[in-house]
Amino acid sequence: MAGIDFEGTDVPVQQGDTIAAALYRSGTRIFSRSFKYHRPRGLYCVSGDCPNCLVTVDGEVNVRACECAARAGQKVTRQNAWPSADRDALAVIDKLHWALPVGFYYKAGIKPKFAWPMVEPMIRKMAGLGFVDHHDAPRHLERVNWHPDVLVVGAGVAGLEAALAAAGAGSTVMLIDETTPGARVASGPTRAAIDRLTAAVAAVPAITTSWNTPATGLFEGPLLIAVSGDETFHIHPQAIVLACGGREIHRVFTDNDLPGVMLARGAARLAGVHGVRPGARAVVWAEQPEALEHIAALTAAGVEVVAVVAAEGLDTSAVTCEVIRGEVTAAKGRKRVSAIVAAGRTIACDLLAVGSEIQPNEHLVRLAYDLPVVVAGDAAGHGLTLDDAMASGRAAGERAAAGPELYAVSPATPRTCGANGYVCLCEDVSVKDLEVAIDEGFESAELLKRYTTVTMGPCQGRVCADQLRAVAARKNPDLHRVANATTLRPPVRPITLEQAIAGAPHHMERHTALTAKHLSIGGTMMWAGPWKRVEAYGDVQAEYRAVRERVGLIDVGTLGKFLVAGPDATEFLERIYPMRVADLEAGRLRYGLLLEEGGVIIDDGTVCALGDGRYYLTVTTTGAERLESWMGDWAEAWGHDVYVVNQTASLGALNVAGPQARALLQKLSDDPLDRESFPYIRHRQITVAGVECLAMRLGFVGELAYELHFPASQSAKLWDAIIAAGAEWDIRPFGLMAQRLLRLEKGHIIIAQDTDFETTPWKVGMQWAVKLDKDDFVGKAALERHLKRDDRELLVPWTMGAGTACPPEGATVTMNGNLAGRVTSAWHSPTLGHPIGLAWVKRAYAAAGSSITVGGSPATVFSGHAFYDPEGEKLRA
Amino acid sequence: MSGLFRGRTWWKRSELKKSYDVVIIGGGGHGMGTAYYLAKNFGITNVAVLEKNYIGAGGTGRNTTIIRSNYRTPEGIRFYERSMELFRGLSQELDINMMLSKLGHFTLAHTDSSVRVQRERGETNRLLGVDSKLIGREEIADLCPELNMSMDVAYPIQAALYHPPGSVLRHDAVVWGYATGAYHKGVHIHQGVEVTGIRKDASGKCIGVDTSEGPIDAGVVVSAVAGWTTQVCDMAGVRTPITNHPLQAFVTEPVKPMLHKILVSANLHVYVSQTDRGEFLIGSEIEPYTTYNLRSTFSFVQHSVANALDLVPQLARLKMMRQWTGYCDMTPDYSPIMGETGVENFYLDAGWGTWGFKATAVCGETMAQMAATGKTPELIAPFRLSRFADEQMVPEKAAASVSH
Repeated sequence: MAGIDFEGTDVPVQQGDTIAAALYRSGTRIFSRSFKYHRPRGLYCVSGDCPNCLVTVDGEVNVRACECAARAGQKVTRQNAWPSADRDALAVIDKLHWALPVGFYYKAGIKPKFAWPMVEPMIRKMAGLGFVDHHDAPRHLERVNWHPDVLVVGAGVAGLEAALAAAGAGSTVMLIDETTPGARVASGPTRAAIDRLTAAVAAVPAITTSWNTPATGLFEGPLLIAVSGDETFHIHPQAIVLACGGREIHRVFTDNDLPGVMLARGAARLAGVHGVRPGARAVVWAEQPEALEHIAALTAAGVEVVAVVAAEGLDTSAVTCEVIRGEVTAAKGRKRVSAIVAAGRTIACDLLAVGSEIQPNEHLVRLAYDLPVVVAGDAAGHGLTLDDAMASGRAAGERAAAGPELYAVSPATPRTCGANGYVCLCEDVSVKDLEVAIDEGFESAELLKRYTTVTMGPCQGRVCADQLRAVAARKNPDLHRVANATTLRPPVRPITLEQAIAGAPHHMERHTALTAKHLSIGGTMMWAGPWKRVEAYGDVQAEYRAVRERVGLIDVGTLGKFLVAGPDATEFLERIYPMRVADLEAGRLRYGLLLEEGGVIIDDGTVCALGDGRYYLTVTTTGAERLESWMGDWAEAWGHDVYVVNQTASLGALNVAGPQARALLQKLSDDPLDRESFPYIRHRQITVAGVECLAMRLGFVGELAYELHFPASQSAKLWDAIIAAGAEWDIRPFGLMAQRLLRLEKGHIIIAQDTDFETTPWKVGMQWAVKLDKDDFVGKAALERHLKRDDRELLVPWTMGAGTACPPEGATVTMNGNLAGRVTSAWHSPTLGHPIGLAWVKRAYAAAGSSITVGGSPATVFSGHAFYDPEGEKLRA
Repeated sequence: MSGLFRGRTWWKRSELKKSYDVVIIGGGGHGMGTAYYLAKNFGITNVAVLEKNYIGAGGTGRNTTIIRSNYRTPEGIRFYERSMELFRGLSQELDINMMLSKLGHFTLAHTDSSVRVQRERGETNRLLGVDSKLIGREEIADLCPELNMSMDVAYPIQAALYHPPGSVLRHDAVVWGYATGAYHKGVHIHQGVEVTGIRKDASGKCIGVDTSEGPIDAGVVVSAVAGWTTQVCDMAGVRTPITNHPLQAFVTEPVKPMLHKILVSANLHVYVSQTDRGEFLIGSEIEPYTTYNLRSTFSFVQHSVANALDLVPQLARLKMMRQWTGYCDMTPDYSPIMGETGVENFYLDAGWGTWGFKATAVCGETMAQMAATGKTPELIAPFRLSRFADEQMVPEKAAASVSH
């Protein structure tokens, strides 16, 4: 199509058209059907505030047609009507107001009880505007950060003046506007001033401008979010000038929602900016001088202005048509205005331009709270003259440039409201609805909002909030105790979800230096905290056997690794760990639990004494980030002179495990690795394949094992050397799954899998790792209290007979059908030939040898700690 | 269609009296529920509910409206099951449509450890008679075709705990319903009245409250103020292990219905549901910091949206309509604090974190019993304040934290 594809009709587009302008020019008058009663709705504010022109554009629902630039080929459809907005079958609901009283939903469908589940799906179908296109995937959009000294929001005369003044005072300035300067203003003195100031702004290098950039939210920082095409701006200014203008107040009268009733600025915009004749015969309702200025724009577009309804006292000496003093009390017509009633007179017309009092656009202002914000122009006052608005802008710009200053915001006072008509265009809430609701007990604006849904629609109160307050106050002048204003919240202008996440970091994924290698040899990856680790290399059983029978290699580079040094390092670790640290001689290492103040296990790992009061710590893969700040906090609290250096990313780590581990490494190292020179639970500085390593003899998997820590850059070199040297024993890399099975056979717990946030060392049989005779350590006081009580549950090892299917982890433990515990770890042990596992079991059933039911099958509480090699001879080999 | 075509009075203002048998601090769902059941079950109607703002201004009107009972501990399950039972009959009992919508509740698991936790919950639930089970990918895709089941995302969905009775209902209707029921039985509802002190006699017994409208005598005082618990308890000299965290949520503009299940992701810390009005309601876990600042943040939006779009990517071009923040009075074990406080005649209903709405009904019932009889009902005995000193906690973190 050459123009817009509007529900199958080709609508021509002219330069500068919005979708609304193009459709209106081609004769469209009904732009939508209202949410509840399916009343016809036409263009009203023509400035992005009201819900009347929400359409679906190229699959995007609820696009404001009056703000969206028209492009050839756009596919535009109207919403919430069937079969079409022009002839909507559901408009019959508009005849059924008597059956849909306020609060209808709460009062209907109660009895019989089965009625509601049948009615509800129908109500769901009736609700909502537009259909979501199921094929839309989020696009990747960019986020741009800006750091101006002063941000000015709104490029009307006040905003433009503010930008110039702030730049003149030496600040860098960013000036944004949701349209382009003057886009909504028909020619006249204001437009001339805007054009002149826009040219002046363009000549100042210190001012960055961005048009068609609506501000959507203002947050602490200050951080202002604005949307500019496919980019989302995060603007971080020192001070902000809010010059977001004002708008004519929504006037409520009988059938005030008929198509043809328009705010005067909107009508003037159609006429003077887009060259669209908004109507043939117009009545202008003028409550302030600016409204009279629009007559010229309307007349120039070919509109015959037949009468002006003017507020008492308004100077109408320049008006050439008939002037009626008073207010409009009704509109007449079926699908659009055919006449209006004012001061008892009925005047035929097809357009009512409502030039009501100007109220500030206070949404952004009310989000400012205590931020360094200055408000200028109509956003601060009520319908300023051109000169006053410009002066206000200049003053605001200077104030903002002078430095951050706190701004206190007071809500506007409510105005009057008619006796009939629609307060809320989004949700079809009338004055009568509100009055009934007030009589029923919902007195305050907040309760009226929740009960009637007024202000809860897409306009979020921009149109209706003021009139809501007016109705509540009129009905109940002594609303003294409860706040009579709803809270304004972000977003100020809608922002799509994909715009909101533009450039946001998502799912940080950490890898060791060996990920590419793992993938190349068939490793499948799984999450371990923020890390991706190898789950397996295709055959868990083969990996397991390699470790038990020959030798295996696992990448443990994800372990948390810390160097702890400084004069107080020993004392610090004595208090961090529940076991002894001070007696560790250089070259020794020790397993350590980490507890929080409540005595609950939060992590575990090893401590190597490096000598000279320096220590090397490992913690779990998931614990490193948290423990770094945790240790920092304690060091700070105790005033210790200690350095905690996180080496997690800079060091790689590999564990060579299995009966042939020593023979393998000895091929690659000249350092003595024999049992006497390098015994169990010792560490040594050794060179392997030319790579200097801190080597530790540890036993997590229950075999002779060397854990090597080295610069991460050497990871691939070392890996390759070990794999090559291990070929003669058919070495296999092994993943997390094999490791979990191997460690379970040793009865070792995994923090967070086998423990929960109540687990103290006693509950898991690890009291040996706690020295209560130490002076103090984190968790000591709680554990001493704890010892005076019996634990309700204990973590126990269990076994099952051969041939029994292994229950899944997470299965329940039962006694006589009653819940008695839960399984945290379970595997079929290849070496033992039957299922083994760990489970939390109620104390009464936790004694060694007790018969319990695990996942429905009989099991026995195991009497020892390790299922495999209980004496630990293999790992000491 | 009872009551549809006639006007009805939900409540009216009452004169503030100098003395009541029971004063309830907090006009949220819990406070109103307590007032209602005091009148209904015990015939105690000389009761005042004092609300410093408007009815339901706090957590009652800010939560995600989900009710469910697939908790982790037997204590938790029993308690929330009773709440579900009460909720199911509430529309008829109070003659107000609560719009209970039995959509079914998914707790999605994206990692092996999460699968383990959800399996455990499902197994425990089943043993205790709660309809809840772990289901695999195929069944998930069948039940909720809108979900993104792709393996080509950072956290593919591996399994889900499915809880068919999981429902949503209109949160405001609950508090208004209880308020109406209580009012028509004679309870006084005072909005805009702030409690400024807890009055005690020489022996330390609670004898009333001081308010912005003057002192009020009371036989029993019940505090049901959630986010403001620590302040009210300070007035009474009661210490609680409660920290106050903000919790945020937002809705999109309304669209025609497309998602018919309640989605919660245990790993992505996000929940998504579509309301009867057509809005998508999306939220996250509590913020890690403590504050009494109710301002919304954009970082919350970014995180929750990114995670929600992982689950339902076709929402990408929907528009946000409104975001808001509420308070969560968090306890160390993610279970509530209910009953005696150590101050005679001053009872506490607190520690409601992110799980307060679904407990509204049972809280009303049990706190009314507590206030009327002075004896701790068995259902709430595990939630006594003294459990923290005794280290006899009721660990619900795995089932309560993000799984609203």
